[in-house]
Amino acid sequence: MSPRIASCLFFAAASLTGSAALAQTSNAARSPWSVGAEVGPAWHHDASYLPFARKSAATPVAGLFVGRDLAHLGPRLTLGAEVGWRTETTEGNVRQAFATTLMTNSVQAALTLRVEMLSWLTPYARFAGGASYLDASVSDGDGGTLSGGAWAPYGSAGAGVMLTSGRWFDGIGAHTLRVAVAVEGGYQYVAPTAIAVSQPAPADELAASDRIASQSTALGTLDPSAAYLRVTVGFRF
Amino acid sequence: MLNPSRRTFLSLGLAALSLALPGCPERDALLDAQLTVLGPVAAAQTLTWVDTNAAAARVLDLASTTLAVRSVPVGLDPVLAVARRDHDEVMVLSRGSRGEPGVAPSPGTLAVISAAGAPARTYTVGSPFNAVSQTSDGRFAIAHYLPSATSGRLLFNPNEIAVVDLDAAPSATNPARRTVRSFGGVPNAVAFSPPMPINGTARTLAVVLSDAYVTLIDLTNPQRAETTVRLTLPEDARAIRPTQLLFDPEQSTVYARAEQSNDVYALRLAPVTPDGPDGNDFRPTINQLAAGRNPSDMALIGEASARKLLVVSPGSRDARVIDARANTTVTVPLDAVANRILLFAAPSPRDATVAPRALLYATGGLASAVSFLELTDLDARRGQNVETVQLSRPVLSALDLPERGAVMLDHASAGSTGQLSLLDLARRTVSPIFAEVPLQGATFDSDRQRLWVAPSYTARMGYIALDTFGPGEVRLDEPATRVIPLPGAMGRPGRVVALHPASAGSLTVLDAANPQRETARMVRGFLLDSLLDRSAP
Repeated sequence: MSPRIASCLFFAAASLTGSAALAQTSNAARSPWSVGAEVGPAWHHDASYLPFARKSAATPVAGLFVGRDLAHLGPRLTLGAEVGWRTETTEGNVRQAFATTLMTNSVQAALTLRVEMLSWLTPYARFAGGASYLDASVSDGDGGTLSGGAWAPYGSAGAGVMLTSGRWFDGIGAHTLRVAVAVEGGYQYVAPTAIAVSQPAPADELAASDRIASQSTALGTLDPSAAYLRVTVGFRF
Repeated sequence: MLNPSRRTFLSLGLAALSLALPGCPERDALLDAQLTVLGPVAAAQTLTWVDTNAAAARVLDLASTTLAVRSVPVGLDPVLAVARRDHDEVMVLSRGSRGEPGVAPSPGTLAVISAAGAPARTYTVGSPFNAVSQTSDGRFAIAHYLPSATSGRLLFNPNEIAVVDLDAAPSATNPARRTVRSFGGVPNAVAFSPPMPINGTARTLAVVLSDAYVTLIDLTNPQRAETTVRLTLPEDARAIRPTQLLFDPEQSTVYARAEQSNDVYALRLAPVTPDGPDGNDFRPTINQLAAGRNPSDMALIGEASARKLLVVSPGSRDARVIDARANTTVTVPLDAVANRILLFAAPSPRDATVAPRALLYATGGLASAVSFLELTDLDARRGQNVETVQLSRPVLSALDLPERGAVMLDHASAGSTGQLSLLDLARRTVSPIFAEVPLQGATFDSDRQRLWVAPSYTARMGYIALDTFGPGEVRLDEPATRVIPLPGAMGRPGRVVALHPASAGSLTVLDAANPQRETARMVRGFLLDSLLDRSAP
């Protein structure tokens, strides 16, 4: 296990341990539904990612999610579920001639385990699984573009804290509506995936059918696993 | 104040985060190095490019269904990639490194890469040579310096060479490094003889061509000292540069033609008793023969027992037949200036006998006529043996098709007449072939069934079937810059590859015997193959 994976798991465990001592009904538990957006960097640690990055392998991630609490497992423990979509785009340059782009779209389902620490502060652990579509392209200065994509299984584990507002929207009759902000760190695993690129077919159907049969080029195996920091902003209701 | 459990949580959390954030890999410098390649070089059904900054050869296997690419490491700073003659191998000459921060010094090497996928052999030639010459059978190679090159080293010896026996494994004595004797010059080129019988044994000689002298090295006995022969007197300051060699094994004679000289030089290798075990058992004697003004091509004619030298000299508009042993010259005046010789055996319009004859022609737009020369009874008949055939336009270049009994001539472009014409050597007739492309860059396929052209301004390849001289063309998806024929082998059909302009590499593969768009395959980006794997630390 790499030091980064170990550190993330340790972070999650510490988070649970530290919060288990307190008992309090939280604002979050009173609003079982959640919806929001997420942003944050991902730190890719494998060198295979570098052709798609300009300087370092930290890339921005954005996404949307919706979730619902499933069960209260105890006075302080709540189990929730979440589905979401994440997208990550990174651009690079290789060999002084080729512009590279990697767009990763992930669909995921997650389970969250929240510990009610304070009414507004809720540490949690989150485990997600799903699939990522890795869409790579390489453009050269001659105007030619090669592209190709592949699906890969996706999983992540992380821990964080969620801050939930009070009943700020009582004035408009939305008694359970609350603002929730969370910060989460963790590790996302995406299975190393072979990437092959080829010339995209022309948009025109006749031109596409007239082309000479094309062979793809194997760019190699991409390992997009990364440590991540996830900042979410949304509503609970 | 935080209670102990919260302090523990926060401190452990921050510690974990600090461990998670660093550790991003360093970007490999190769990713930011320019992609510059040598090649491609064809060997069997593979094409090899050398990524100079990556110091790696990319071997594209065109016989595989997936057009697989194999990467083979070569020495640092590769400067030359050539096919090994008579072998399905590619040789890559690297200059090595003089040492840089982070890069240890490394010697120059010659890597030999097998098309079949066998492990590459690497010969340590030591010095940063920039040229390789090889024997016609690919047995020996000599790494040397070209005079125009700089070594990028504080000191270098331009007369140093490394003799490599490519059939033998690399060892402490292979390559053999030595310095050829110099009269102040540096090697311009290296030529190799066919096996020359000397003292009853066949020898392969390497002939190092330098300004005003040649150096003979017995490759069969590489430990022996070289023999240097001056082509001028020591006080003669002319830059006599040997440019053409002919070998007459039966007479143990080497003929040399040189720029800036109106003479040709015959070096007869006479057997002598060697001086000690490392002494040579032959000694060249030089005979300087007048050959008109500006001799520009020469050929050996006649039977082995009566071998003579045929020379064309555009400056004096004549051809000369030189008997080096008898020291006699027969001058044949020509109506049309000529600077090239093509020997062929064919009948003529007045003689149905297949006999040795010569076509004398001029390239470079110098003449609109060619001369046919009957080689029999030339001493007596002289000018009567010449027949001049008028062409419509001057000849820019010519492509010999001896097995078809023809020569394809390339003329300056003109609207109403063909740019190419076909000269029938037996009938001595000229037929125009309408072509929108020049002959430069035309390539035979491996079994000389077709002649291919690929103009860069259109996405088409043209060909002429050499059995019928019928033209044809294939439509491609992109313009081609070069055509490379690949031979068939082991049941695999021959192929023709059209290279397209693309930084990452682009080509179309066609069946050479049946070139059709429907069966063609195209691949683009193969120079980036394994890009993600290569960037691994």
